[in-house]
Amino acid sequence: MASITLEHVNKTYVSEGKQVEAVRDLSLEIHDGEFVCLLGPSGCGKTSTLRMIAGLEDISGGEILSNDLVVNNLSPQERNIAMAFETYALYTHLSVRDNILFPLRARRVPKDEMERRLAVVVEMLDIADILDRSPGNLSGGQQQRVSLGRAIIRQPGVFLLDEPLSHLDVSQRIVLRARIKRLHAELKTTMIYVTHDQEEAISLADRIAVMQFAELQQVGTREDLLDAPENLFVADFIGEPPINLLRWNLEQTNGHVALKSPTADCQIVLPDAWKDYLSKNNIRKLVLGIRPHDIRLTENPGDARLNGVVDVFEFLGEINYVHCAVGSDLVTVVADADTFFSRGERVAMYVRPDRVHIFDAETEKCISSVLKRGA
Amino acid sequence: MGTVVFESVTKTYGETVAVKDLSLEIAEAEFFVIVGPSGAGKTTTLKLTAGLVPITKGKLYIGGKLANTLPPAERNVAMTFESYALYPHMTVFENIANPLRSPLETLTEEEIKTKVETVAELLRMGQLLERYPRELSGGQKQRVSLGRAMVRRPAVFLLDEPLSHVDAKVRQYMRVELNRLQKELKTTTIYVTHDYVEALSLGDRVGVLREGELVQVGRPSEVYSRPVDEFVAKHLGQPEINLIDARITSSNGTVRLVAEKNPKLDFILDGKRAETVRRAGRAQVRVGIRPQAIKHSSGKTDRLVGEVYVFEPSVFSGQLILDFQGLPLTVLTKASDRFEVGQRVGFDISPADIYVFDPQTGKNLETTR
Amino acid sequence: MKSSKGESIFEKIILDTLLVVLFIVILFPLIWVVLMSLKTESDILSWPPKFLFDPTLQHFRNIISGVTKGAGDVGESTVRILHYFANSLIVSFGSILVSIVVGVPAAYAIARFKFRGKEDIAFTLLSFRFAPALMVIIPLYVIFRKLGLNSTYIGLIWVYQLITLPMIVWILRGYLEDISPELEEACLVDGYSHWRTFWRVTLPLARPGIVASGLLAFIYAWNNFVFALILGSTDVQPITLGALQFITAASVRYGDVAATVVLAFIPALALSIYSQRHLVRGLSFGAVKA
Repeated sequence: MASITLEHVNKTYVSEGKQVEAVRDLSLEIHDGEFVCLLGPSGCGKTSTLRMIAGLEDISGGEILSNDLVVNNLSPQERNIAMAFETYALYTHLSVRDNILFPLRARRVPKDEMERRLAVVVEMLDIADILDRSPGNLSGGQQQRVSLGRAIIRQPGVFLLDEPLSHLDVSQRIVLRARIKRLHAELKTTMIYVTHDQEEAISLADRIAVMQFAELQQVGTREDLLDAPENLFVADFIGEPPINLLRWNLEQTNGHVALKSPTADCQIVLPDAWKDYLSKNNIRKLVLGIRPHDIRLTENPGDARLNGVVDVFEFLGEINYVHCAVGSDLVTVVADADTFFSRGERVAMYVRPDRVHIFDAETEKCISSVLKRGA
Repeated sequence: MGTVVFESVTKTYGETVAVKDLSLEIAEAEFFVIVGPSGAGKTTTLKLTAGLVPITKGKLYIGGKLANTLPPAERNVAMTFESYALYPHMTVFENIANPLRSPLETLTEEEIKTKVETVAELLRMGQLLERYPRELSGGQKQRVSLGRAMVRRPAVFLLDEPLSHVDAKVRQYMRVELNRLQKELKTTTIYVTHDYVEALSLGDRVGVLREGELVQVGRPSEVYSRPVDEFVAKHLGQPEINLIDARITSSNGTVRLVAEKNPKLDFILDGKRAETVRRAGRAQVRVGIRPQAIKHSSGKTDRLVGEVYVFEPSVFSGQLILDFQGLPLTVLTKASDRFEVGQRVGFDISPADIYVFDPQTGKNLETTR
Repeated sequence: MKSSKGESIFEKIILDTLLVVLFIVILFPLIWVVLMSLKTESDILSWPPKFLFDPTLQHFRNIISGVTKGAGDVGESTVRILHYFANSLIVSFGSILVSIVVGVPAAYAIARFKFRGKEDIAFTLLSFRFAPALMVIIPLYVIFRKLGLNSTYIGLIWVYQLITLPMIVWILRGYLEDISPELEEACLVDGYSHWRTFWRVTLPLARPGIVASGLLAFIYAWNNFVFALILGSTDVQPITLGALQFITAASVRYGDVAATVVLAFIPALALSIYSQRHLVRGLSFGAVKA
């Protein structure tokens, strides 16, 4: 079992004569037994970070510690880690059994210990029926399970996974995702998982580290990221359907501050507690963010009301998405499977004012998150 | 003008049957979605309609005219390809203009320019007209591909998995755009995808294709809530429907279905339902339960209690896999719920929510006549 | 200390030195011939070999004027090197022209369609490149005699197809296979016939491949010796043969031979350098699946 700490880690490399920063000043603490996801769009630095933790790439600056020991100069073999790759990287000339036992044979683990561990792995990953096949005869999902087996049989301190599900088709991905989560619950090993898929991150991780352009944007639990995003990027990146972003005008009405739509007769009165902060910091332009699932179709006391007209109604089986025009803005609402709307129908939507997010239009920082935490 | 009728259309490649006995009538301005796993024959069906692949048996009518022997150029259809098939040596403008420069058209350069620019505006890519395909993102290429299909105002649009290579975020946005576009253009559309979400969201009617055969055709809500067999039920829905083997015992007008793996789980059907199931004359059935039909609670007073195998939260829901003494059950939960591995959770399922399938054929006993 | 590729400075020096040595070894014959063409006959034959000498352009003047003067000759003789140069141009160009006209449709058929014996035909075509010319040269000579094709441009161009056609077909085949058939399908649906689609979409996209394979085939045709030797004559023979004329019973005019060789390889060299960009792209495009 191991904890991993990154302190002001930097990674730069030279490409076509220019310096490229892959990771900038990254500080992150991953606790023993925790499942942390490195999440971000391609090119954000998440894979570089993982490879530095693995020892597959040099660290340009800063320190990486494992259980409080600096590991910067240790080779991957010396770091007590195991890794599962996007492309499985199985030895095609060996059977599944030999693939999984390979790392143990390389370390000359005694035979009965090998058999014991193999039995545990086979049970956990349900691969008894494919032990004697060769990788070429396996489906993507099966190959990935073998790859996972080969990694966990070593009982590493940290388990690193680099987009292991990206090459699988949808049904295999779902099955394997559940299996990986279950694996973590059973093994309790520290896991660091890289992905660009926010849905994967939300369903698997204890905490998620969101990265963009080589920098860490925010690290937190699913609730932290959904309810208190640090900035516009995090709020927009996480969440499906994506957060509704409305550029409404900040106005004063009856001693309260409200955000008013420039194209429709709708407004949301903000909590008074936020008024002082806004005037003290002289903030004029805001972006209003409302998550689709925070918008209800039935009224509760204290709710703000938005009037809209249905533009597109999507029946999706278990749930429905209703996309309503509010003035010239499009607001998406998540509705129950048994509510149906037709195009052109008028809809009243309700939202609790303290569930909305407000962002400074210039800095893109989330003001409501700051206020929720501080006040 | 834009009706498409398939009359027992079959396509074989040597020994392999790619499309088997397809009979389907698509009305004018209808948005018809063909959904199915890869290899089901969806792209082949589109290529048969376009004339890129010859029909082995059967008849195809486009706009009332027999189209079997018409070359693609004369069928008045437009197609988008999964790989976009944008001409790499032409600019975006030229790509979109290509159909307008064919020998069948007689437009002046001015007219071509106007039409291309109108379409580009509609798809919000006016500023990309001078770029080349290699300089575009996936989403932009997809819009150019759509533009090229739309510029000619054909009688039928054929869209081959247009959203499959697009980012999840963009896909969501494009689904809404496609929805809107379709309502504005009012052109008959045959849309092919493996993603059931697109099918349910976009289709006026949906056709489920398996191994070259149309298994069910109907409105999205119908096909979702009254699947004709297990395959349709499994393919439409996320998480996938639970399927449980069960034994039947019947007595005095009621039928009791008992799960094989765990007799504690049983359902009692009465009235018409009991009669239908009994008439099928099976000793065993497969019970289908949608994950959202399983109601869960804290497990104190429930008859049925399972252990949490794994819980995966999503944004506003969650997927819970319960181990009901050896029987796995997938439950759709609210995301505000929290579950720990090993926790005991009670649940209940109303018999009104279950489906009954034939264990051999997979057919829904209650929809088959 | 490591460079961005992880090599040490030391490793880099060793590798660079090896590259220079390799460079010298490969290019030495060429460099020597160039030097020879600029030396006087006596300098050429002197031992140890001279690298520093007084250059002379006499040999070039000889071959360009077509009149040779030299030591110990029995009078003057005319060697029409420039005529042979023109022959090379005619025959090489002619060959690749024919090969392209025939080869592009052939490559397209092999790349796009399935028919019985396809791979056999393709491989047979390729095998012409493997077979040594000397194996077939005598039967060919007899046939050419009967058909009256000896000493004709047409005869040489025809025989050169053994060299140029397989190359063009095979390189283009790979290239065309990489052009997605869906591009052609899209054009058909856009309202064009098969023929128009070929001209509008397939050919423009295949152009780099045609250029690359054409250039490569040109260089091979240009360099050919055996076919031209047996099946040609002084009228039609290309420049590869022209140099032979300087080897008589009386003497070998090394300087003139060297000058001819230099003249002969200048076009090939120029084309190779110019087309280097196209060649790499054209050849690898066909080989690697993107």
